[in-house]
Amino acid sequence: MVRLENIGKRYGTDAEILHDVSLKLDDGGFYFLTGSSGAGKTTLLKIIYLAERPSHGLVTLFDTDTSAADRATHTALRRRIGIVFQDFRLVEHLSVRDNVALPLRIAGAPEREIRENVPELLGWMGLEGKLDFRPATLSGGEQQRVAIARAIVRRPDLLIADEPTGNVDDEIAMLLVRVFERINKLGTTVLIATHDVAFARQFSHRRYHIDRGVVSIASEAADADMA
Amino acid sequence: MIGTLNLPAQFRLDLPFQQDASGRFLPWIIALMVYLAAMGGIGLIWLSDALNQWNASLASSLTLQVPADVSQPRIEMALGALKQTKGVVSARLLQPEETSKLLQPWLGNSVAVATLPLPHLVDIRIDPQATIDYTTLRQQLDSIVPNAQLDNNRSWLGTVRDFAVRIEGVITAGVIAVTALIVAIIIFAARIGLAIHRSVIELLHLLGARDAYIARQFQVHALSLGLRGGVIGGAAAALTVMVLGPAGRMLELPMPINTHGLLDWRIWLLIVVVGLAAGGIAMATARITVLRQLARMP
Repeated sequence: MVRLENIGKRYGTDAEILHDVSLKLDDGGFYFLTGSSGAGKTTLLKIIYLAERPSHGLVTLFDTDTSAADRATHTALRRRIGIVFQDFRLVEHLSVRDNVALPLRIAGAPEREIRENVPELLGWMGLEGKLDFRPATLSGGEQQRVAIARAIVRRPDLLIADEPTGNVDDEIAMLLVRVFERINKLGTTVLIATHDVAFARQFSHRRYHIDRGVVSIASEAADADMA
Repeated sequence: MIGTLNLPAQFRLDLPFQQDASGRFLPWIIALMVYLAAMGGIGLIWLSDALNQWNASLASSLTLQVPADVSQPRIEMALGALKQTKGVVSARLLQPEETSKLLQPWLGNSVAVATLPLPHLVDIRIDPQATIDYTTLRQQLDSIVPNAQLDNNRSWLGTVRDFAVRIEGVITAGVIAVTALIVAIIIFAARIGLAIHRSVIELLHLLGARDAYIARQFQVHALSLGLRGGVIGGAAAALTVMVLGPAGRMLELPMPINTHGLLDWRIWLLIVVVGLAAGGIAMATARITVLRQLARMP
């Protein structure tokens, strides 16, 4: 599904943010990426969802070497990925319904399908009464659910969530992970980035840990050191 | 809460163009360009009509100027010679009051034209298809009335034609300049739009949008601005033609603006074509500009 080999990333002449990162996400897997703020989580995610190119190393997505892929192939690969951004990145002038419909419209889905599926999904996310609201009128938690709905509406092969539990209390955070687990059960590979190591440890999913640009497979010992 | 508008997918805009300042001033600038281009085109139509009218009337007429002191019998002889010339349909001596009327625009009513030593004018109608030997005719007339001048109007018409060609050149250059200006304005607006909406464009890319999908958003927006400008500019041009008609009649302008006005279907066709062209040019320019810019993005 996803394989990173010896990835490095630096901006201009600045110090390297990622150092020889290698990791592998298997089909249908559920992963946490933990690490403190500024450790390089978001940069690593950006490389995986093709918003950034690595300075060196190999990124393979869905058996495609992205460094050798052309612009059209990158677009095709992006359509297989759902992203929940840390700041949600909802389009302010569009309604909740149109925000969630965006990936479907971009993919050229028929309007009939959009009219049926989007309200159903938003209902499943508990937003059935908010379809025609603009994002600015929603609470933070509601905006987050809209962002998740937009990320999963096209049933992506890979779902990436950047700090989805960062701004919510423990109970909501737990509920969100349960939502991601349900999506995972449908066959989507899930990667969740969080700074909260203790929170991630509550689940039995595989964890990668990033510290000052170096990624390692997290272990109990490493967690203890972190604490 | 906002309502949903079920627009066809190709006209749906994900980018918030309605917040752009360009949406407020661009239609007016394009309207001005459309107005200038339409009036230029209408000017070309009128100029062409005027030339054709003059050409048609002058190609079938000649003027003979006989010095003022020539006697009536000699004039009659000259008229007889003209009438016998092959290709001449009629030859008629203008009455003094007709000559006075012709001079009125230059001399006014106050001058006693009858007291002036004006030449006698003979209006000659010819068959435009006939070939007249002017050299022989001039020699023949000169033998009857020395110093008579036979004017076939061709040198004057040639001067007018040369002038008209220059005017046409100026108008065409103006229309080209206006088109180039619309292109430049749209390129500028598209680049500003790309900068303003960069974050949403990046988002669309990350959601899997192709460059053509994003370019289509700018295309639709530019088409809308162009057509709005086209409607405003076209309406202003139609209004101008409407006002120029009565004004032309009032001022007795020697151009066909006081004859057809808005009843001329070519004026309507021109206004519609220029208005649509503004939309088309704006749309094509936006598409090319945006696709080029997007190709540089990661």
